[in-house]
Amino acid sequence: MPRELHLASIVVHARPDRVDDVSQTIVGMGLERHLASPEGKLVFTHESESARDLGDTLTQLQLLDGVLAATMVYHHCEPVAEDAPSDEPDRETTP
Amino acid sequence: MRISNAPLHAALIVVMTAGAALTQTGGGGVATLRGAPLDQNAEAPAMRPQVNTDIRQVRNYPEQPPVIPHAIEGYQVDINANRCLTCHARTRIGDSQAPMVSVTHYVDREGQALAQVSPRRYFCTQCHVPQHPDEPGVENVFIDIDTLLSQEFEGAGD
Amino acid sequence: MKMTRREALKAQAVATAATAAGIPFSAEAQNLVTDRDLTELKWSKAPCRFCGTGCSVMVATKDNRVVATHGDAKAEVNRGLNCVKGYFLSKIMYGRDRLTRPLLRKRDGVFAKDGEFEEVSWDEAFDVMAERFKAALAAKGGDGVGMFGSGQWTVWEGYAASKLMKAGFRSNNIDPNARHCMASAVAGFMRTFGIDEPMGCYDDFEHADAFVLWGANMAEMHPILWTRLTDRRLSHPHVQVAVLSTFENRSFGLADIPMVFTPHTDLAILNYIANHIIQTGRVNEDFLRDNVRFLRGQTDIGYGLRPDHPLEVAASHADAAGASEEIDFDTFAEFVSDYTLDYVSELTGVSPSKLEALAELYADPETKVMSLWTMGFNQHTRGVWCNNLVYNIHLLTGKISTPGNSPFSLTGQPSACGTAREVGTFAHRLPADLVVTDPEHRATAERIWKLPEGTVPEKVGAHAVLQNRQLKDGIINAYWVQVNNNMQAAPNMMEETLPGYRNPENFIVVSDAYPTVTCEAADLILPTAMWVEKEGAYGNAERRTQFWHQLVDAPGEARSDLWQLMEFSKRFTTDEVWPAELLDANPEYRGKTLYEVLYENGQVNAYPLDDTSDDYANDEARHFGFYVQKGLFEEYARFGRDHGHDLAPFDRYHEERGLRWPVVDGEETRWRYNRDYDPYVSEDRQIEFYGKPEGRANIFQLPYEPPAESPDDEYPFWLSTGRVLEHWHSGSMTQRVPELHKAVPNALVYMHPLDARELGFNRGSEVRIVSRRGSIRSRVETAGRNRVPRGLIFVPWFDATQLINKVTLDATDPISKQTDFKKCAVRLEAV
Repeated sequence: MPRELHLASIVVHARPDRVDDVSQTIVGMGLERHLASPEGKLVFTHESESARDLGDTLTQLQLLDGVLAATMVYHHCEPVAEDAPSDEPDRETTP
Repeated sequence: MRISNAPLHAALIVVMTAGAALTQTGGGGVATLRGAPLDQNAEAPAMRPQVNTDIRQVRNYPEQPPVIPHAIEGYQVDINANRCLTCHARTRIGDSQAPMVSVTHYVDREGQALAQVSPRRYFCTQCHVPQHPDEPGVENVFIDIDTLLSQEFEGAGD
Repeated sequence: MKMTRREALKAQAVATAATAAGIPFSAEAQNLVTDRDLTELKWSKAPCRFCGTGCSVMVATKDNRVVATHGDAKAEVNRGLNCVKGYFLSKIMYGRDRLTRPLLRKRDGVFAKDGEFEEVSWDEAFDVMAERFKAALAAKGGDGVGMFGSGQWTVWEGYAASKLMKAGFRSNNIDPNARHCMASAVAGFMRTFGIDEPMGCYDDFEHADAFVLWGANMAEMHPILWTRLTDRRLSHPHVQVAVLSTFENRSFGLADIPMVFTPHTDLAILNYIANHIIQTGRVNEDFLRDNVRFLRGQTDIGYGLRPDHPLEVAASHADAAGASEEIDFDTFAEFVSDYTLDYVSELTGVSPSKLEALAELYADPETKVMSLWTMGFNQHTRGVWCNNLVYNIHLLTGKISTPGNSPFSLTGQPSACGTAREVGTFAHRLPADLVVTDPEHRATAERIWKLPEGTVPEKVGAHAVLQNRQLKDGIINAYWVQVNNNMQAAPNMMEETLPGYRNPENFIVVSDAYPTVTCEAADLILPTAMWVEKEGAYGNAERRTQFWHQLVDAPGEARSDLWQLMEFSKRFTTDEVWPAELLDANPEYRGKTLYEVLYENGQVNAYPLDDTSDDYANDEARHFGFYVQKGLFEEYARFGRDHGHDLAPFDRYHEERGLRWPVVDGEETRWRYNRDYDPYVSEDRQIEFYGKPEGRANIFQLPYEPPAESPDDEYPFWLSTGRVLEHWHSGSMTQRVPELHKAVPNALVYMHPLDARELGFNRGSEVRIVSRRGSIRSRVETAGRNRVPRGLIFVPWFDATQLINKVTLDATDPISKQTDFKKCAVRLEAV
């Protein structure tokens, strides 16, 4: 089965008093944190090789203690060239 | 020829001659921008009109003056008039939709901001030049900062 | 570049999410790298690599590469501006064809003059080279070897080269390409003032009421000084600009008094102005009484051609061109009275009203006037006279050495002043204006160099043009060219330069960063580090000495000229190259290498590696084991300190945007010879030209004499050569920057539309330009940046595909030995 890259951004709305530990937990799950607002909105990106993995992660986030909501905003998917190493989806020529 | 960093542009590879002729005229297989043996003359390249696409070129770094993406043949830029400013002056860009002269140009030698473009910036072509569709005889391998940073990311990611 | 793409996708994802969530955009969310550790650039100062203006630039480096450059806002010279070449400095080192290994002509594994270039090691390169230099030295002594350097050498490179040639090989056959550029200015200064280089400085631009460009096309050749001049003219409406040239160039765009004159007749204009000043009673008599002497210069001095040339045979004083005798003011006044307005107007083709307007700029005591010149005066078979005559009119009116009153000789190369002139890399010179013909001067050099008496030879060496003649004639047999492209730059290539380089008796070494046409004619090519790939120092036209650090490493095995010179000196011992009598009298020098006696002399190696900067690499210091640049500089500075050429301590220059010498008690000097500014002026004098006896400068009586070659029926056009704004010199750097190449891809022949029509040419027609010496092919341009008068064509020399010096004449000024590249006779043919 051809491999795929899935890249998504997710907005997590945490209780303002729980922002720090929620954030820490999510980073521990392998997501990358980018932004945070004072009212508790956090922006993460998630990378995986399958839509199922992404779906599972979203469900876990929604169930986390201190999370009011977790919503996927952006999703990009592209095939990974077969001869490329698994973490190099799109090698262009390097000078 | 055993020169690793040699010729790129076929037309520029020096025609090699052998033996005594070589002693007299140079040659020897080093690629230069010459295009003909030293003692001969190749055809002079045809003159070509200035690039006139109006498509802005990417700068090599933020401080680089942009090249002029249109023809400026016959433009009057002298003590009486500056044709460039008829489109690029602050007050004219509404009509012309040309990029405005950069704010750096409104500062005098002492760093004082002026009401008008500083006279020291008056002759535009000292820094901004039009282009011709002639590729150089040899490639330039300058790497801009964005590319260099991407390479760092790549390095960091591995 | 996977991360680039992934980063870009991620940034887009984040941006979309931020918008959806109503979180304000921060830099983090944008498609922008903001991590300070990654984006922080190292910015360092360096002088521009190109012309003699000496702009300072800020250079950004990252990961051992130059990634950006811009004008240095802290530099007085340019205050944040660069010209288009300066703005593209970042790319000059990155032509794909940088030389990275020595290349030697070989056949069957050994050196052969008719062989093809093969890569060799530095060891093999130096072995073959040393063998050839030793053979030449053994056969002919110092006369058999030669070196052609440059005003692009750093100060210490020129100094190390001068020591190697003048003291090591005991040969004065070393000359810089500044000979093609500044020699007439030098001789002009020495004859009039006794000390080289301008008395004023660039501050004059902000003080003058009038500017007179004598042949200089500053709009293209000195763009940043042109910005200062333009600023002054446009900001202050009373200011006037006179532009003189043999054709209309870009500088005419600012001219209040534009003036196209018949080639070579500038001599007559200068004498007319002197006459006008005298006739209208505007001589500054007090100034003359205290500060000036009058001399009659030798006339009919020939044209610096080979001695058997009919023009030399016919000249009555070709052998004593520099002679002069004292006269008085009245004799001088009578002499210039022949240069009437009518006569000069007819000779020059300039209207009387323009000539008078020009003369009034000088004559009016209320007008502070700055005269500016470069190649128009200097590349002139009477170039020294032109320099002398322009000083005449400043001296007659006392308009000199005060802010805004300034006869100012511009320079073409970044260190024509700093290296060629101040270090004295000319065939007749030693540092700080000393000359090899003066026994006391030689003794001074030998004392400072800690070398035995009699080491430096008295005989003046071969100058640039003579070197090529001597190569052709097989007199010089081992020859080293550094930092210049003389196959393209020297006159009369087909009759002199090319036969000289390819003479089977000769071994030609060329050190360069790129494969130039000079490399092509060489036998050994040495790959060379350039600009910020080494620590350096340049001196600009206003006596400003500027330093820079090594900012990046040189590619491959490329090495600096300094490394090459010093490393090569290790291959010679005194016993091999010095005469027995010198060693007999000084046995302690026996058996030593030239490296030991020249550079490991307790002075050059006096500063340890620890003194070098912690923040910058220094390949030469690391290689030789001591701070070689500092040692060379401090030894060199001994020549000038307390002798009107004082330099500051080495380390200070790394902190400053340059300092103008003499630097006395830590202060630079802006206007020399004026007590208000110059500590060398005596207490009891306001003005003192202390380079000459009694502190008096010389006013010279010199006539108009015709040029060496003028148009005739067979060759009906004047040819003038020169540069363009976008390319510097032979284009070896600028032709490798795509934006500059595309701005001006090729040389063109600028001609008058009516001349073109008469010959049946259109704009763009291919033509052959033919002289008595050679020909090239080019394309006709009847519009564009230059408007030439009928009967004259202009061709720039930057283009390696169109070597205009095949056509030019190797006539020189007989005093300065500088070639006249501005006039010879040619015809045009359809191809």
